[in-house]
Amino acid sequence: MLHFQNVSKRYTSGHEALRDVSLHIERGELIFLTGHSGAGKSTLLKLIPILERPSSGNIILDGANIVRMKKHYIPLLRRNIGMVFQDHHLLFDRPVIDNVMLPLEVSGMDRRECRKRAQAALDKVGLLSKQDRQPITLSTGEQQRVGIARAVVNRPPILLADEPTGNLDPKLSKEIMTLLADFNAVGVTTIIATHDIQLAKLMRRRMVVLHQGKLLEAGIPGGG
Amino acid sequence: MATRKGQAATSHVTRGVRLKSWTSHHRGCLKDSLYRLFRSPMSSILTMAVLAIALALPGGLYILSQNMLSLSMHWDTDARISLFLTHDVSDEEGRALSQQLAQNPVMKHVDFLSRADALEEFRQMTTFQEALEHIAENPLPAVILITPASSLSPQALDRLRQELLANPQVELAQLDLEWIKRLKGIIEMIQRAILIVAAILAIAVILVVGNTIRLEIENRREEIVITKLFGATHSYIRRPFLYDGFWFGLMGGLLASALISAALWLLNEPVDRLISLYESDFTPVYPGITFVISITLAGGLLGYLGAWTAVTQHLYKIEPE
Repeated sequence: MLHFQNVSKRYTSGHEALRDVSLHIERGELIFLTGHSGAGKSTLLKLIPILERPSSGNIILDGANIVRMKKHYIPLLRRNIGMVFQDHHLLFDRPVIDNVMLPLEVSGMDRRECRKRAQAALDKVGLLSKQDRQPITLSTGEQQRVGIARAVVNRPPILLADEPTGNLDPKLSKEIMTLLADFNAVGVTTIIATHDIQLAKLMRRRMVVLHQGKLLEAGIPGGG
Repeated sequence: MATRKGQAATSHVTRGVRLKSWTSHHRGCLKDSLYRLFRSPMSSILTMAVLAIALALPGGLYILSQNMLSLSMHWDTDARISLFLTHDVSDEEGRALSQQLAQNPVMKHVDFLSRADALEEFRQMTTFQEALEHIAENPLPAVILITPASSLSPQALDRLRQELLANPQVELAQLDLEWIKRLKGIIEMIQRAILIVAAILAIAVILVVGNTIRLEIENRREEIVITKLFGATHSYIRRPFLYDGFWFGLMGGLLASALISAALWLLNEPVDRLISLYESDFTPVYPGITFVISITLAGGLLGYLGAWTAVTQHLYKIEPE
Protein backbone atom coordinates (compact mmCIF):
# COMPACT_ATOMS: atom_id res chain seq x y z
CA MET A 1 0.00 0.00 0.00
CA LEU A 2 2.80 2.41 0.92
CA HIS A 3 6.17 2.18 -0.75
CA PHE A 4 9.24 4.29 0.04
CA GLN A 5 11.80 3.90 -2.75
CA ASN A 6 15.32 5.25 -2.10
CA VAL A 7 13.96 8.25 -0.29
CA SER A 8 16.39 10.93 0.89
CA LYS A 9 15.70 14.21 2.56
CA ARG A 10 18.28 16.93 2.87
CA TYR A 11 17.24 20.22 4.44
CA THR A 12 18.49 23.51 3.07
CA SER A 13 20.63 23.79 6.20
CA GLY A 14 22.56 20.80 4.86
CA HIS A 15 21.25 18.41 7.50
CA GLU A 16 20.54 14.99 6.00
CA ALA A 17 17.43 13.71 7.76
CA LEU A 18 16.88 10.62 5.61
CA ARG A 19 19.40 8.69 3.54
CA ASP A 20 18.26 6.32 0.83
CA VAL A 21 15.37 4.83 2.79
CA SER A 22 13.39 2.03 1.17
CA LEU A 23 10.43 0.59 3.02
CA HIS A 24 7.30 -1.26 2.05
CA ILE A 25 4.24 -1.17 4.27
CA GLU A 26 1.37 -3.57 3.61
CA ARG A 27 -2.27 -2.64 3.72
CA GLY A 28 -3.68 -3.09 7.22
CA GLU A 29 -0.23 -3.37 8.77
CA LEU A 30 0.84 -1.80 12.07
CA ILE A 31 4.48 -0.80 11.99
CA PHE A 32 6.69 0.83 14.61
CA LEU A 33 9.26 3.35 13.51
CA THR A 34 11.86 3.64 16.25
CA GLY A 35 15.19 5.26 16.84
CA HIS A 36 16.71 8.08 18.83
CA SER A 37 15.34 11.55 18.56
CA GLY A 38 16.72 13.17 15.45
CA ALA A 39 17.05 9.83 13.69
CA GLY A 40 14.54 10.90 11.03
CA LYS A 41 11.34 9.24 12.30
CA SER A 42 9.28 12.44 12.18
CA THR A 43 10.71 13.41 8.82
CA LEU A 44 9.70 10.05 7.37
CA LEU A 45 6.14 10.45 8.69
CA LYS A 46 5.90 14.01 7.39
CA LEU A 47 6.58 12.86 3.86
CA ILE A 48 3.32 10.88 3.74
CA PRO A 49 0.82 13.79 4.11
CA ILE A 50 3.32 15.98 2.15
CA LEU A 51 4.18 18.18 5.11
CA GLU A 52 7.65 17.81 3.66
CA ARG A 53 8.79 16.72 0.23
CA PRO A 54 11.74 14.34 -0.22
CA SER A 55 14.91 15.55 -1.91
CA SER A 56 15.00 12.37 -3.97
CA GLY A 57 13.27 9.01 -4.28
CA ASN A 58 9.66 8.00 -4.76
CA ILE A 59 6.77 7.45 -2.38
CA ILE A 60 4.04 5.29 -3.86
CA LEU A 61 0.73 5.45 -2.02
CA ASP A 62 -2.02 3.22 -3.36
CA GLY A 63 -0.22 2.99 -6.71
CA ALA A 64 0.27 6.74 -7.08
CA ASN A 65 3.58 8.54 -6.68
CA ILE A 66 2.84 11.37 -4.26
CA VAL A 67 6.27 12.96 -4.52
CA ARG A 68 5.25 15.20 -7.38
CA MET A 69 1.62 15.61 -6.31
CA LYS A 70 0.26 19.04 -7.19
CA LYS A 71 -0.38 21.38 -4.25
CA HIS A 72 -4.02 21.55 -5.22
CA TYR A 73 -4.56 17.86 -4.39
CA ILE A 74 -2.78 17.86 -1.03
CA PRO A 75 -5.92 18.63 1.03
CA LEU A 76 -7.70 15.66 -0.55
CA LEU A 77 -4.70 13.42 0.23
CA ARG A 78 -4.68 14.58 3.87
CA ARG A 79 -8.36 13.71 4.29
CA ASN A 80 -7.32 10.09 3.85
CA ILE A 81 -4.62 10.24 6.50
CA GLY A 82 -5.30 10.39 10.22
CA MET A 83 -2.61 12.09 12.29
CA VAL A 84 -1.80 11.87 16.00
CA PHE A 85 0.86 14.18 17.43
CA GLN A 86 2.98 14.15 20.57
CA ASP A 87 1.59 17.47 21.76
CA HIS A 88 -1.85 16.45 20.44
CA HIS A 89 -2.48 19.86 18.75
CA LEU A 90 -5.94 20.35 20.21
CA LEU A 91 -7.62 23.74 19.88
CA PHE A 92 -8.27 25.08 23.36
CA ASP A 93 -10.83 27.64 22.24
CA ARG A 94 -13.55 25.06 21.66
CA PRO A 95 -14.99 22.01 23.39
CA VAL A 96 -13.76 18.45 22.88
CA ILE A 97 -16.54 17.52 20.45
CA ASP A 98 -15.76 20.46 18.15
CA ASN A 99 -12.11 19.41 18.07
CA VAL A 100 -13.07 15.92 16.99
CA MET A 101 -15.53 17.22 14.38
CA LEU A 102 -12.89 19.36 12.69
CA PRO A 103 -11.65 16.87 10.03
CA LEU A 104 -15.25 16.12 9.04
CA GLU A 105 -16.23 19.77 8.81
CA VAL A 106 -13.16 20.46 6.71
CA SER A 107 -14.30 17.81 4.23
CA GLY A 108 -17.64 19.56 3.97
CA MET A 109 -19.88 17.19 5.88
CA ASP A 110 -23.22 18.27 7.27
CA ARG A 111 -22.79 19.51 10.86
CA ARG A 112 -25.33 17.17 12.39
CA GLU A 113 -23.73 14.18 10.69
CA CYS A 114 -20.31 15.46 11.86
CA ARG A 115 -21.54 15.59 15.43
CA LYS A 116 -22.92 12.04 15.28
CA ARG A 117 -19.69 10.61 13.90
CA ALA A 118 -17.57 12.62 16.33
CA GLN A 119 -19.62 11.20 19.19
CA ALA A 120 -19.06 7.68 17.85
CA ALA A 121 -15.30 8.33 17.67
CA LEU A 122 -15.26 9.76 21.21
CA ASP A 123 -17.19 6.71 22.39
CA LYS A 124 -14.48 4.46 20.92
CA VAL A 125 -11.78 6.22 22.96
CA GLY A 126 -14.03 6.20 26.05
CA LEU A 127 -14.55 9.95 26.29
CA LEU A 128 -18.13 10.38 25.13
CA SER A 129 -19.15 11.64 28.56
CA LYS A 130 -16.60 14.47 28.27
CA GLN A 131 -17.62 15.70 24.82
CA ASP A 132 -18.69 19.15 26.03
CA ARG A 133 -15.67 19.74 28.26
CA GLN A 134 -12.93 22.16 27.31
CA PRO A 135 -9.73 20.26 26.36
CA ILE A 136 -7.72 22.19 28.96
CA THR A 137 -9.77 20.54 31.74
CA LEU A 138 -8.77 17.03 30.61
CA SER A 139 -5.73 15.06 31.74
CA THR A 140 -2.80 14.62 29.32
CA GLY A 141 -3.83 11.04 28.61
CA GLU A 142 -7.39 12.10 27.89
CA GLN A 143 -6.19 14.90 25.63
CA GLN A 144 -4.17 12.38 23.66
CA ARG A 145 -7.25 10.14 23.34
CA VAL A 146 -9.22 13.13 22.00
CA GLY A 147 -6.41 13.58 19.49
CA ILE A 148 -6.79 9.93 18.47
CA ALA A 149 -10.57 10.27 18.16
CA ARG A 150 -10.01 13.25 15.88
CA ALA A 151 -7.47 11.29 13.80
CA VAL A 152 -9.85 8.38 13.16
CA VAL A 153 -13.17 10.24 12.98
CA ASN A 154 -13.27 10.27 9.19
CA ARG A 155 -12.17 6.60 9.03
CA PRO A 156 -8.94 7.18 7.13
CA PRO A 157 -7.20 4.18 5.55
CA ILE A 158 -3.89 5.35 7.06
CA LEU A 159 -3.17 6.44 10.62
CA LEU A 160 0.12 8.16 11.49
CA ALA A 161 1.20 8.66 15.09
CA ASP A 162 4.31 10.71 15.90
CA GLU A 163 5.50 9.99 19.45
CA PRO A 164 1.91 9.56 20.68
CA THR A 165 3.13 8.53 24.14
CA GLY A 166 5.90 11.08 24.43
CA ASN A 167 4.38 12.88 27.38
CA LEU A 168 2.70 9.94 29.12
CA ASP A 169 3.66 7.59 31.93
CA PRO A 170 4.21 3.88 31.07
CA LYS A 171 0.70 2.77 32.07
CA LEU A 172 -1.00 5.45 29.98
CA SER A 173 1.45 4.82 27.17
CA LYS A 174 0.43 1.19 27.05
CA GLU A 175 -3.23 2.23 26.96
CA ILE A 176 -2.66 4.57 24.04
CA MET A 177 -0.70 1.94 22.10
CA THR A 178 -3.46 -0.60 22.69
CA LEU A 179 -6.04 1.92 21.50
CA LEU A 180 -4.05 2.51 18.29
CA ALA A 181 -3.70 -1.26 17.83
CA ASP A 182 -7.49 -1.55 18.17
CA PHE A 183 -7.99 0.79 15.22
CA ASN A 184 -5.38 -1.19 13.30
CA ALA A 185 -7.39 -4.34 14.03
CA VAL A 186 -10.32 -2.97 12.01
CA GLY A 187 -8.07 -2.52 8.97
CA VAL A 188 -6.41 0.88 9.35
CA THR A 189 -2.80 0.86 8.17
CA THR A 190 -0.99 2.31 11.17
CA ILE A 191 2.50 3.80 11.41
CA ILE A 192 3.72 4.73 14.88
CA ALA A 193 6.95 6.63 15.40
CA THR A 194 8.29 6.21 18.94
CA HIS A 195 11.62 6.40 20.70
CA ASP A 196 10.24 3.98 23.33
CA ILE A 197 11.74 0.78 21.93
CA GLN A 198 10.77 -1.28 25.00
CA LEU A 199 7.09 -0.41 24.56
CA ALA A 200 7.26 -1.06 20.82
CA LYS A 201 8.81 -4.47 21.46
CA LEU A 202 6.05 -5.23 23.92
CA MET A 203 3.43 -4.77 21.18
CA ARG A 204 5.05 -7.60 19.13
CA ARG A 205 4.62 -5.95 15.74
CA ARG A 206 6.94 -5.20 12.87
CA MET A 207 9.54 -2.66 13.90
CA VAL A 208 12.03 -0.67 11.86
CA VAL A 209 14.85 1.34 13.35
CA LEU A 210 16.20 4.55 11.94
CA HIS A 211 19.69 5.66 12.83
CA GLN A 212 21.03 8.97 11.56
CA GLY A 213 18.58 8.88 8.67
CA LYS A 214 19.36 5.31 7.61
CA LEU A 215 17.05 2.32 7.98
CA LEU A 216 18.93 -0.22 10.11
CA GLU A 217 16.84 -3.26 10.66
CA ALA A 218 13.42 -4.61 9.96
CA GLY A 219 11.74 -7.45 11.75
CA ILE A 220 9.18 -8.56 14.21
CA PRO A 221 10.65 -8.81 17.71
CA GLY A 222 10.18 -12.17 19.31
CA GLY A 223 9.58 -13.90 15.97
CA GLY A 224 6.17 -14.33 14.33
CA MET B 1 -23.29 2.15 -20.51
CA ALA B 2 -24.66 1.08 -17.20
CA THR B 3 -21.49 2.12 -15.43
CA ARG B 4 -21.46 5.46 -17.15
CA LYS B 5 -25.04 6.04 -16.06
CA GLY B 6 -24.09 4.99 -12.58
CA GLN B 7 -21.15 7.36 -12.53
CA ALA B 8 -23.29 10.22 -13.73
CA ALA B 9 -25.79 9.52 -10.99
CA THR B 10 -23.08 9.44 -8.33
CA SER B 11 -21.45 12.63 -9.51
CA HIS B 12 -24.86 14.25 -9.54
CA VAL B 13 -25.48 13.22 -5.94
CA THR B 14 -22.05 14.34 -4.79
CA ARG B 15 -22.57 17.67 -6.48
CA GLY B 16 -25.83 18.10 -4.57
CA VAL B 17 -24.17 17.10 -1.31
CA ARG B 18 -21.23 19.34 -2.07
CA LEU B 19 -23.51 22.28 -2.72
CA LYS B 20 -25.33 21.61 0.53
CA SER B 21 -22.10 21.41 2.52
CA TRP B 22 -20.84 24.52 0.74
CA THR B 23 -23.91 26.52 1.69
CA SER B 24 -23.79 25.19 5.23
CA HIS B 25 -20.14 26.21 5.55
CA HIS B 26 -21.02 29.67 4.28
CA ARG B 27 -23.82 29.90 6.83
CA GLY B 28 -21.47 28.72 9.57
CA CYS B 29 -18.77 31.22 8.56
CA LEU B 30 -21.28 34.05 8.46
CA LYS B 31 -22.52 33.23 11.94
CA ASP B 32 -19.06 32.57 13.45
CA SER B 33 -17.74 35.74 11.90
CA LEU B 34 -20.51 37.84 13.45
CA TYR B 35 -19.94 36.07 16.74
CA ARG B 36 -16.22 36.95 16.60
CA LEU B 37 -17.08 40.61 16.00
CA PHE B 38 -19.15 40.71 19.17
CA ARG B 39 -16.70 38.62 21.18
CA SER B 40 -14.14 41.42 21.14
CA PRO B 41 -16.50 44.39 20.86
CA MET B 42 -14.00 47.10 21.78
CA SER B 43 -11.44 46.37 19.06
CA SER B 44 -14.23 45.65 16.55
CA ILE B 45 -15.87 48.99 17.28
CA LEU B 46 -12.56 50.81 16.98
CA THR B 47 -11.88 49.24 13.59
CA MET B 48 -15.40 50.01 12.43
CA ALA B 49 -15.10 53.60 13.64
CA VAL B 50 -11.94 54.10 11.59
CA LEU B 51 -13.68 52.61 8.56
CA ALA B 52 -16.76 54.75 9.21
CA ILE B 53 -14.71 57.95 9.26
CA ALA B 54 -12.89 56.95 6.07
CA LEU B 55 -16.23 56.25 4.38
CA ALA B 56 -18.11 59.21 5.87
CA LEU B 57 -15.69 61.79 4.51
CA PRO B 58 -16.28 61.16 0.79
CA GLY B 59 -19.92 60.31 1.54
CA GLY B 60 -20.48 63.62 3.33
CA LEU B 61 -18.67 65.58 0.62
CA TYR B 62 -20.85 63.88 -1.94
CA ILE B 63 -24.01 65.01 -0.12
CA LEU B 64 -22.53 68.51 0.06
CA SER B 65 -21.86 68.57 -3.68
CA GLN B 66 -25.38 67.31 -4.37
CA ASN B 67 -26.68 70.23 -2.34
CA MET B 68 -24.53 72.69 -4.28
CA LEU B 69 -25.82 71.17 -7.51
CA SER B 70 -29.40 71.43 -6.31
CA LEU B 71 -28.80 75.00 -5.23
CA SER B 72 -27.32 75.91 -8.62
CA MET B 73 -30.35 74.37 -10.36
CA HIS B 74 -32.40 76.55 -8.11
CA TRP B 75 -30.50 79.59 -9.27
CA ASP B 76 -31.05 78.62 -12.87
CA THR B 77 -34.58 79.95 -12.52
CA ASP B 78 -33.10 83.38 -12.09
CA ALA B 79 -31.57 83.19 -15.54
CA ARG B 80 -32.63 86.23 -17.52
CA ILE B 81 -32.69 87.20 -21.14
CA SER B 82 -32.43 90.88 -21.93
CA LEU B 83 -33.68 91.89 -25.39
CA PHE B 84 -32.30 95.24 -26.48
CA LEU B 85 -34.58 96.62 -29.18
CA THR B 86 -33.43 98.64 -32.18
CA HIS B 87 -33.78 102.41 -31.99
CA ASP B 88 -36.49 102.59 -34.65
CA VAL B 89 -38.92 100.52 -32.56
CA SER B 90 -41.51 102.77 -30.95
CA ASP B 91 -42.73 102.28 -27.38
CA GLU B 92 -46.07 100.95 -28.68
CA GLU B 93 -44.40 98.40 -30.93
CA GLY B 94 -42.09 97.40 -28.11
CA ARG B 95 -44.96 96.99 -25.69
CA ALA B 96 -46.88 94.95 -28.30
CA LEU B 97 -43.87 92.66 -28.81
CA SER B 98 -43.55 92.25 -25.06
CA GLN B 99 -47.23 91.29 -24.75
CA GLN B 100 -46.88 88.88 -27.66
CA LEU B 101 -43.88 87.22 -25.99
CA ALA B 102 -45.77 86.92 -22.71
CA GLN B 103 -48.29 84.65 -24.48
CA ASN B 104 -45.55 82.03 -24.84
CA PRO B 105 -45.79 79.56 -21.91
CA VAL B 106 -41.98 79.26 -21.86
CA MET B 107 -41.84 82.83 -20.54
CA LYS B 108 -42.49 83.04 -16.87
CA HIS B 109 -42.25 86.75 -16.69
CA VAL B 110 -41.93 89.48 -19.36
CA ASP B 111 -41.26 93.14 -18.53
CA PHE B 112 -41.09 96.01 -20.94
CA LEU B 113 -38.75 98.90 -20.20
CA SER B 114 -39.23 101.87 -22.58
CA ARG B 115 -36.30 104.07 -23.55
CA ALA B 116 -37.49 106.74 -21.11
CA ASP B 117 -37.87 104.15 -18.33
CA ALA B 118 -34.39 102.86 -19.06
CA LEU B 119 -32.97 106.36 -18.86
CA GLU B 120 -34.77 106.97 -15.58
CA GLU B 121 -33.44 103.74 -14.15
CA PHE B 122 -29.96 104.52 -15.35
CA ARG B 123 -30.18 107.93 -13.79
CA GLN B 124 -31.12 106.48 -10.42
CA MET B 125 -28.46 103.84 -10.52
CA THR B 126 -25.46 105.89 -11.51
CA THR B 127 -23.69 109.07 -10.63
CA PHE B 128 -23.56 110.16 -14.24
CA GLN B 129 -26.58 112.42 -13.85
CA GLU B 130 -24.64 115.52 -14.86
CA ALA B 131 -23.11 113.83 -17.83
CA LEU B 132 -26.51 112.67 -18.97
CA GLU B 133 -27.82 116.19 -18.95
CA HIS B 134 -25.25 117.13 -21.57
CA ILE B 135 -26.46 114.48 -23.94
CA ALA B 136 -29.23 115.72 -26.16
CA GLU B 137 -30.76 112.45 -27.15
CA ASN B 138 -31.56 109.43 -24.97
CA PRO B 139 -28.83 106.95 -25.97
CA LEU B 140 -30.47 103.97 -24.30
CA PRO B 141 -32.48 101.37 -26.18
CA ALA B 142 -35.81 99.95 -25.00
CA VAL B 143 -35.42 96.63 -23.24
CA ILE B 144 -37.65 93.61 -22.80
CA LEU B 145 -36.62 91.67 -19.68
CA ILE B 146 -37.58 88.02 -19.88
CA THR B 147 -37.51 85.51 -17.05
CA PRO B 148 -37.83 82.09 -18.70
CA ALA B 149 -39.48 79.09 -17.06
CA SER B 150 -37.22 77.46 -14.48
CA SER B 151 -37.44 74.06 -16.19
CA LEU B 152 -35.23 75.19 -19.08
CA SER B 153 -31.73 73.80 -19.31
CA PRO B 154 -28.81 76.10 -20.18
CA GLN B 155 -28.88 74.66 -23.71
CA ALA B 156 -32.61 75.37 -24.08
CA LEU B 157 -32.06 78.88 -22.78
CA ASP B 158 -29.39 79.47 -25.37
CA ARG B 159 -31.72 78.19 -28.11
CA LEU B 160 -34.44 80.53 -26.89
CA ARG B 161 -32.03 83.43 -27.04
CA GLN B 162 -31.18 82.59 -30.67
CA GLU B 163 -34.87 82.48 -31.59
CA LEU B 164 -35.51 85.84 -30.00
CA LEU B 165 -32.53 87.35 -31.76
CA ALA B 166 -34.00 86.30 -35.11
CA ASN B 167 -36.68 88.97 -34.65
CA PRO B 168 -35.62 92.06 -36.70
CA GLN B 169 -36.84 94.36 -33.94
CA VAL B 170 -34.29 92.90 -31.59
CA GLU B 171 -30.79 94.26 -31.86
CA LEU B 172 -29.17 92.27 -29.10
CA ALA B 173 -30.29 89.35 -26.92
CA GLN B 174 -28.18 88.78 -23.84
CA LEU B 175 -28.43 85.66 -21.77
CA ASP B 176 -27.18 86.11 -18.26
CA LEU B 177 -25.71 82.64 -17.91
CA GLU B 178 -21.97 82.95 -17.59
CA TRP B 179 -21.89 82.90 -13.86
CA ILE B 180 -24.05 79.77 -13.76
CA LYS B 181 -21.62 78.09 -16.13
CA ARG B 182 -18.78 79.09 -13.84
CA LEU B 183 -20.58 77.73 -10.80
CA LYS B 184 -21.21 74.46 -12.65
CA GLY B 185 -17.52 74.37 -13.49
CA ILE B 186 -16.62 74.80 -9.83
CA ILE B 187 -19.05 72.07 -8.81
CA GLU B 188 -17.62 69.73 -11.43
CA MET B 189 -14.16 70.39 -10.09
CA ILE B 190 -15.33 69.72 -6.54
CA GLN B 191 -16.99 66.49 -7.64
CA ARG B 192 -13.78 65.39 -9.31
CA ALA B 193 -11.90 66.20 -6.11
CA ILE B 194 -14.42 64.15 -4.14
CA LEU B 195 -13.81 61.21 -6.48
CA ILE B 196 -10.07 61.47 -5.85
CA VAL B 197 -10.59 61.71 -2.07
CA ALA B 198 -12.99 58.76 -2.26
CA ALA B 199 -10.43 56.68 -4.17
CA ILE B 200 -7.69 57.47 -1.65
CA LEU B 201 -9.94 56.68 1.30
CA ALA B 202 -11.16 53.49 -0.38
CA ILE B 203 -7.54 52.36 -0.42
CA ALA B 204 -7.33 53.36 3.26
CA VAL B 205 -10.36 51.17 4.02
CA ILE B 206 -8.76 48.25 2.19
CA LEU B 207 -5.53 48.72 4.14
CA VAL B 208 -7.26 49.05 7.52
CA VAL B 209 -9.36 45.93 6.97
CA GLY B 210 -6.33 44.14 5.55
CA ASN B 211 -4.33 44.91 8.67
CA THR B 212 -7.16 43.84 10.99
CA ILE B 213 -7.53 40.57 9.10
CA ARG B 214 -3.78 40.03 9.16
CA LEU B 215 -3.85 40.26 12.97
CA GLU B 216 -6.83 37.90 13.04
CA ILE B 217 -4.90 35.42 10.86
CA GLU B 218 -1.98 35.62 13.31
CA ASN B 219 -4.35 35.04 16.24
CA ARG B 220 -5.78 31.97 14.59
CA ARG B 221 -2.51 30.60 13.28
CA GLU B 222 -2.84 27.33 15.20
CA GLU B 223 -6.36 26.73 14.01
CA ILE B 224 -5.24 27.33 10.42
CA VAL B 225 -2.34 24.91 10.83
CA ILE B 226 -4.59 22.19 12.24
CA THR B 227 -7.31 22.60 9.63
CA LYS B 228 -4.61 22.38 6.96
CA LEU B 229 -3.28 19.20 8.58
CA PHE B 230 -6.72 17.67 8.28
CA GLY B 231 -7.17 18.54 4.65
CA ALA B 232 -8.80 21.95 4.57
CA THR B 233 -8.62 23.61 1.16
CA HIS B 234 -7.41 27.17 0.78
CA SER B 235 -10.88 28.42 -0.05
CA TYR B 236 -12.24 26.76 3.11
CA ILE B 237 -9.64 28.50 5.27
CA ARG B 238 -10.01 31.80 3.44
CA ARG B 239 -13.79 31.98 3.73
CA PRO B 240 -14.22 33.03 7.39
CA PHE B 241 -11.69 35.84 6.96
CA LEU B 242 -13.46 37.12 3.88
CA TYR B 243 -16.68 37.21 5.89
CA ASP B 244 -14.89 39.07 8.69
CA GLY B 245 -13.71 41.70 6.23
CA PHE B 246 -17.15 41.98 4.67
CA TRP B 247 -18.82 42.50 8.05
CA PHE B 248 -16.25 45.07 9.14
CA GLY B 249 -16.80 47.05 5.95
CA LEU B 250 -20.58 46.71 6.08
CA MET B 251 -20.80 47.88 9.68
CA GLY B 252 -18.32 50.66 8.92
CA GLY B 253 -20.58 51.77 6.07
CA LEU B 254 -23.66 51.77 8.28
CA LEU B 255 -21.80 53.75 10.90
CA ALA B 256 -20.64 56.19 8.20
CA SER B 257 -24.28 56.77 7.20
CA ALA B 258 -25.09 57.47 10.83
CA LEU B 259 -22.15 59.89 11.10
CA ILE B 260 -23.24 61.80 7.99
CA SER B 261 -26.84 61.97 9.22
CA ALA B 262 -25.65 63.25 12.58
CA ALA B 263 -23.48 65.89 10.90
CA LEU B 264 -26.38 67.03 8.71
CA TRP B 265 -28.68 67.13 11.71
CA LEU B 266 -26.20 69.44 13.44
CA LEU B 267 -26.06 71.63 10.31
CA ASN B 268 -29.81 71.65 9.87
CA GLU B 269 -30.70 74.64 12.02
CA PRO B 270 -28.10 77.14 10.77
CA VAL B 271 -28.79 76.09 7.18
CA ASP B 272 -32.51 76.66 7.65
CA ARG B 273 -31.81 80.08 9.10
CA LEU B 274 -29.56 80.96 6.18
CA ILE B 275 -32.18 79.83 3.68
CA SER B 276 -34.85 81.93 5.37
CA LEU B 277 -32.50 84.94 5.31
CA TYR B 278 -32.23 84.57 1.54
CA GLU B 279 -36.01 84.15 1.34
CA SER B 280 -35.31 81.12 -0.78
CA ASP B 281 -37.56 78.08 -1.08
CA PHE B 282 -34.49 75.85 -1.50
CA THR B 283 -34.80 72.53 0.28
CA PRO B 284 -31.52 70.78 1.19
CA VAL B 285 -30.77 67.30 -0.18
CA TYR B 286 -30.58 64.69 2.58
CA PRO B 287 -29.09 61.21 2.20
CA GLY B 288 -31.87 58.85 1.16
CA ILE B 289 -32.17 55.11 1.63
CA THR B 290 -30.35 54.55 -1.69
CA PHE B 291 -27.40 56.53 -0.38
CA VAL B 292 -27.33 54.58 2.89
CA ILE B 293 -27.52 51.27 1.03
CA SER B 294 -24.83 52.37 -1.45
CA ILE B 295 -22.34 53.49 1.18
CA THR B 296 -23.01 50.37 3.29
CA LEU B 297 -22.52 48.04 0.35
CA ALA B 298 -19.46 49.99 -0.79
CA GLY B 299 -18.08 49.48 2.72
CA GLY B 300 -18.85 45.76 2.57
CA LEU B 301 -17.19 45.41 -0.82
CA LEU B 302 -14.07 47.32 0.24
CA GLY B 303 -13.90 45.25 3.44
CA TYR B 304 -14.09 42.07 1.38
CA LEU B 305 -11.29 43.34 -0.87
CA GLY B 306 -9.18 44.25 2.15
CA ALA B 307 -9.65 40.79 3.64
CA TRP B 308 -8.87 39.23 0.29
CA THR B 309 -5.55 41.06 -0.01
CA ALA B 310 -4.58 40.12 3.56
CA VAL B 311 -5.53 36.50 3.02
CA THR B 312 -3.67 36.13 -0.27
CA GLN B 313 -0.60 37.69 1.34
CA HIS B 314 -0.49 35.87 4.66
CA LEU B 315 -2.64 32.74 4.69
CA TYR B 316 -0.57 30.77 2.21
CA LYS B 317 2.59 31.38 4.21
CA ILE B 318 1.15 29.45 7.15
CA GLU B 319 1.98 25.80 6.60
CA PRO B 320 1.98 22.98 9.12
CA GLU B 321 5.43 21.70 10.05
